[in-house]
Amino acid sequence: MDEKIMHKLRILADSAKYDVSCSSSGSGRARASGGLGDAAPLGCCHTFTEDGRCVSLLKVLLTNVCIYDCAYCINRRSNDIPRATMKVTELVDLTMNFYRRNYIEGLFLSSGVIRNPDYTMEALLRVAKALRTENRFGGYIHLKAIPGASRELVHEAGLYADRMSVNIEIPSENNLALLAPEKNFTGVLQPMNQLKVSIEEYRDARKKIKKAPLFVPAGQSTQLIVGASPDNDRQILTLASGFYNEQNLKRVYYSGFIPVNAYDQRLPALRKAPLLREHRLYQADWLMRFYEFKCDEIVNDQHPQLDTDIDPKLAYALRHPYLFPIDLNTADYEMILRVPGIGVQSAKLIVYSRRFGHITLAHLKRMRVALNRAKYFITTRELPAQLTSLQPSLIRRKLQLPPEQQQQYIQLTLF
Amino acid sequence: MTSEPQPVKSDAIYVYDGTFDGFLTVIFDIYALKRKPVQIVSERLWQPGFFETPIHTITVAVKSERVWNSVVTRSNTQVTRMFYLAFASELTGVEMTLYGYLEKLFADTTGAYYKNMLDDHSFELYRMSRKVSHEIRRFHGFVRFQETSDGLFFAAIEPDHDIVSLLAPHFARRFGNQPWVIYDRRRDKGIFYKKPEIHEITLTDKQFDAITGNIPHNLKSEEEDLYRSLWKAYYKAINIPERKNTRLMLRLLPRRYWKYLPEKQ
Ligand code: SF4
Repeated sequence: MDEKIMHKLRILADSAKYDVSCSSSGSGRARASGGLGDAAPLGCCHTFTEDGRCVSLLKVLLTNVCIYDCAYCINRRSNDIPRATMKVTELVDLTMNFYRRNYIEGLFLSSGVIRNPDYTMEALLRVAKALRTENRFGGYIHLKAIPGASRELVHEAGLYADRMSVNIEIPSENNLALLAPEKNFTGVLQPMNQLKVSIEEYRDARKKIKKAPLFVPAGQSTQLIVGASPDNDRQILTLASGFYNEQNLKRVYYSGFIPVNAYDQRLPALRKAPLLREHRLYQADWLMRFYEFKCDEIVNDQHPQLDTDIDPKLAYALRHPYLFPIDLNTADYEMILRVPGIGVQSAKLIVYSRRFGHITLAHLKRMRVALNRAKYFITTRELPAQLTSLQPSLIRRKLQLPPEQQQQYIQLTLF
Repeated sequence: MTSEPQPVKSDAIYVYDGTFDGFLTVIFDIYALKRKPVQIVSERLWQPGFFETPIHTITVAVKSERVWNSVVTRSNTQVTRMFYLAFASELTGVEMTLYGYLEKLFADTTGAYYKNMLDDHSFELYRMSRKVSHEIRRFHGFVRFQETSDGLFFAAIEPDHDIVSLLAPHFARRFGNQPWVIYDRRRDKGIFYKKPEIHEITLTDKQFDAITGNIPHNLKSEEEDLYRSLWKAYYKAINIPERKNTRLMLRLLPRRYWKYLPEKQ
C-alpha cells in the first residue's frame, strides 16, 4: 500500500512539474469553524527546488493518462511512459497530512484528460469537494479547468477552489492548431471567460452580503510556453496583457520550453530551455503589472523581441534618452518607477521621504537603489547630469549582462 | 518623559536581562540617572572587563510601561511594531540603535520625527525590523511538524532572530484544532498551543534528538515516517534537472535552515 502510493506520487508529481505556477497568494479564505487551515493572503513558500522554484502547493496530476496528443507535452498519449492514477481518498489523505505538517499551503490539482473533459473535470471536482466538505479543509486549492468540460462542472469547481486556471500553452491560434490539433483557442477561452463573469458576480454579491459564498477568490491564471512555437515576444506579451486587462487574470506564467519530445518534427530543435528569454518575459510582465508600463511601450513593431542582453526597463530607458535624467526630489512617482535600478519599494520610499529633506546618494544606497544603473538616469546634487554626456550605446555596453552570466544568471532577480 | 532634562555624562554600560521589558527599564534608568550609555548589553552577552563597573538594571514593569507608553503616544502602530521587531532581531548593537532612536523621538518637538525615513536611526530601525519580518515570513513556510502518537505536532527551529513567539498568531490561526509546539532550540524556549490556550514554554525533559530535533521513534505517530518519506519523494520528483540553479536555491533557502527540513536531509 505505502509502496503503491509512493510510486504514484513520484509519477504524478513528475508529470505535473512543468506547470510552473506556484503562487498561493491572494485568497484570504478564513478557516471554517472547527476546520483546519486558512489561505494566507500573501502566499508562502515552504521550500525551494534545486532550480530555485518556490514550492508552495502539493502539485500533482490526478492522472497522467491522456486521450490527447499535444506535441509539447510529456504526457501525450503516444509517449511510452509509466502511467498512474490517484484515488480521491489518496489525494485527500496526502493533502491533509502534508498540510498538517506544514509542508504545503494546499493542493494544486491538474490532470490529463481521461475519457472525456466532463469525466475529468468531475474527478477533479470530487477531490476539492471532499477536502472542503468532509474534511473541512481551509487551505489553498488550485484546480485546472478542463477545456471542453460543461459549464455546470466548471462552475461547481469554482465554489471549492481558491484559484482556477486554464493553460493556453501555445501563444497563437495557428501554432496551437499545429502542435495541439485537438485543441483550439475558443475551447480554452470559453471556461476562462465563463469564470471571469462568475468571479465578478460573486465578488459583487459579497460586497452586499458578507456571508455570500466565495467563488475562486484568488482569481485565475494561465501559462504560456515559450520557444515551442515561433511566436515572438510581442505576440506573447500582447496576449498576456489582454488576459490581464480583459479577463482580469491574476497571473500569466511563462514557461521556457523544455524539449521533452525531441522526436517530434513539428517542434524546434532546442538544445537548452530558453531560460534567459523566459526571465526577460517575466521582467516585462512585472513592468506591466507593477511599473505602470503599457505592453506596446515594451514591445512593438520596431522592437518585437525583448533584448536578452539588457532588461526591458533599461532597454526602454535607452530607447527614450530624452526622458532622462530626472530629478528624484521633484519627479512624479510614475517617472521614478521608470528609472533603471529603482524598484517599487525604493520608489515609494523616495516619494515618501523627500518631504523631509533632500535625497542624497547615501540615502538612495540604503534604500537599495542599484546606483550602478540608476546613476545614468537621475540627477542629484552630487551627480552631474549623466545622460547628456554619456551615449545610450555606451551605457548599454557598461550595463549589459556579461556573457558568462548569461549562462547562469540568477533567474528571479528582478531589477 | 519630556519634562526630564537631557542626561549629560556618556560613559555608562547598562547590563540587563535580555528581555524587552528589561531593555525599556534601561531606557527609563538612563533618564532617571542622567547617565548616557556607551553600551547596553544583555547579561548573556556581557563580558566583564577590568575597568568598567556596569550598571545592572533590574527589570521593573512600571518603568518599562512608562517608557513604552511614551513611545506609543509619540509614534504610530507601524513604528511600535517596527521597534519591537528590531529588538527581536538580536543584532549586535541593536540596543544602542534603539536608544539613539528614542533619544531623538523623545526630544522631538515637531511631532513628525517618527515619520522621517531620511534619519539614520529611523532608517536603521526600519532595516532591522525588515530583516526580522522577512525571517518570520520565511518560517511560516519552513516550520516542519512531526506528529506524536498522542496527536501533538512538534517542530524544532533555529532562527537567526528571536521570532518564536511572533510565529504564534499565524500557526494558531492555521492549526486551530491541532495542538502544537514550536521550539526554538538555540534560545531554549517555545510556544505550546492547545485550543484555546497558548503558552511560552521551556522544556525540561527534552525528548527529541539533540542534533536533528527529531522526536524518538516510540513517540512518533504510526504514519509519521510514511508522510515524511512521501514528502521527500515529492521534493525529489518535482525537480527539473534542465533548470538546475543551485545559487538561486541557496539564496532562497540558505543552508543554515536545512537542518529541520526533511526534504534537505
Ligand atoms: S491535453 Fe494536457 S495532458 Fe493531455 S497531452 Fe495535451 S497538454 Fe498533455
